[in-house]
Amino acid sequence: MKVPLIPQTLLSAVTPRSDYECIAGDLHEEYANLVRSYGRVHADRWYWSQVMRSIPALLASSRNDAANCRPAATWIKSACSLVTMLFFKDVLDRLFDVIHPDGPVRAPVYFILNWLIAAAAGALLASTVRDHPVRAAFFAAAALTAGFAVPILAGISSPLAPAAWLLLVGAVPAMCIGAATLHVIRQR
Amino acid sequence: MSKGDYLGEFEHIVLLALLRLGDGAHGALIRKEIEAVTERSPAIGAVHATLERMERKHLVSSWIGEPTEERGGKAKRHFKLEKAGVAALKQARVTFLRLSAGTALREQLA
Repeated sequence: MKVPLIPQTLLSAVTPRSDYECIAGDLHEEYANLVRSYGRVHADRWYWSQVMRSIPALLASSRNDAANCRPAATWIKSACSLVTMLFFKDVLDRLFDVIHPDGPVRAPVYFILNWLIAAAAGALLASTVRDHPVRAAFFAAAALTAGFAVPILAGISSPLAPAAWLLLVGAVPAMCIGAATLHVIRQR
Repeated sequence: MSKGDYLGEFEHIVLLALLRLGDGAHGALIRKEIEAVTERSPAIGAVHATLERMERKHLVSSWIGEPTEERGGKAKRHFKLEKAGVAALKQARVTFLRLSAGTALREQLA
């Protein structure tokens, strides 16, 4: 009996290699029972639900180490880290627009908070790499680059501001993609 | 007892399900047992992640079985409750009983 292809592919992308066979087998077993009892539509819906709800736990699993982690899992976690960072950055900017509605006056606390967000993003990214020393180095470099961009952003009226934003927003995903690609090459 | 030694709620539920099923239960069986008894439907990934975390704490152990046809030719991971797991369950029960002793909990739940 064939399980739905898309969620199965998603599951194989995020599940640690050592666990995939057992988890996919468990889902297959229950899926087959549900098809017999309630029909394929109900079983498909259940399978989708199980896979989608399993993703956070599987991404966080400590079995996602150097030997078992799949590149797709790293990309998803890195993307989540980036979105989190951009969200907090946006909240911070909106807050300071309220505090300083007359112009781009940036208090020292804005600079410190920006740096903290960059550092938190670095920590989040580092937490996704676990035992991958090479990737950890890449992610640290990305966080550092973001950190260097912040002082330029502090003088937001400067013509360098767009370049600084590109550096801040572009460095992290570029490094993530580069690191994950390197991981794939090393595995081969 | 350090903070990491205490059972989380879901860890407690998974350990009790494994105790009910006996040694050798696998993920799908544990998930179904939790669903049948607690009427909540946990994700299979959460069950496996919890079991993996408890395996690192030596509360359970696991081994890989043979692939079977009903599972699309995929093997099962069987789990066994270890002595430390039983001790953790006893500790959790003792803590609950101590905390609820002398309160009006029994009357309120009746």
